[in-house]
Amino acid sequence: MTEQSGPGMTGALQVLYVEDYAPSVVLTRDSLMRRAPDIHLDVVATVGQAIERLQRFEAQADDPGLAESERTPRYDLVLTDLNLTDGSGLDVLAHVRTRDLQLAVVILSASNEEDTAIGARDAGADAYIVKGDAYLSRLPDDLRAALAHFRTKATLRAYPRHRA
Amino acid sequence: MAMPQHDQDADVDAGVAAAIATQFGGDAVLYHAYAATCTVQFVVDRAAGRAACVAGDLSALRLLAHNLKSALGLLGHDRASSVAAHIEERAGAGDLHAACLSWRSLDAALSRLEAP
Repeated sequence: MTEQSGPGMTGALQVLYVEDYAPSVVLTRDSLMRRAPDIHLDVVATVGQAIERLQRFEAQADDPGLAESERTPRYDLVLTDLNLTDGSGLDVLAHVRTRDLQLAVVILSASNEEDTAIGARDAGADAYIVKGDAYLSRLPDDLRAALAHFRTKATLRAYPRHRA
Repeated sequence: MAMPQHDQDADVDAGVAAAIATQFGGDAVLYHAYAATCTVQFVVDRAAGRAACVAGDLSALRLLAHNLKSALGLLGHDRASSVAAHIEERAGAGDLHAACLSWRSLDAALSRLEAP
């Protein structure tokens, strides 16, 4: 078995963070800067903005000549709030999975309803984090674990093709 | 019967201390930075809540209450967080009257948090 390594396991992590409530953005950014300065956030406030970024992320993979100023970061993971002004974090998740983008997706919510968490997992989320006790201190590890989960799934999906 | 002010203040202090310990891992600087950001946001939220009630915009009120439930809970203001949760639930159920009645209570709690 190949050990998981590379960006995201121990190194820098590029995260597209979808959150429309300003204090949550500041808190998450401040907390990560203190606990995990190698996790970088690119913040957008709406589902529409997130999808626009993801479309650019997808397009630039096929366009090596794109100017640096027009590039989005090479995201490893999408962290999205569940309840957003123009929709749901599940809409962002659906876009990522429908387009088969190679990104882990983590849903962040104040809701600890089991059905919602299961629904998010069934839709392809790699983690569902409830904004409960001590979630901030666990967030760096939870993000890395979600990325490891995504990469393991991707490896397992690819394995039969390697054998063929 | 309303709780005496000094008991309410003691409740708030205990809630804040508990929040710093549990939600912020003992990091009081991070807590107070977050509280300062929230204080600014609450001015915006109070206006948005009043506007949503006037316009009968249940969707906006539900999302606003949802955000405030989370923020107030993180800050350790559990009573206000519970009121926000009630508003979110009532707004989600389409009960504008009950949601906006409770909004007045939440608005008053937010105004106290804005005070220096």
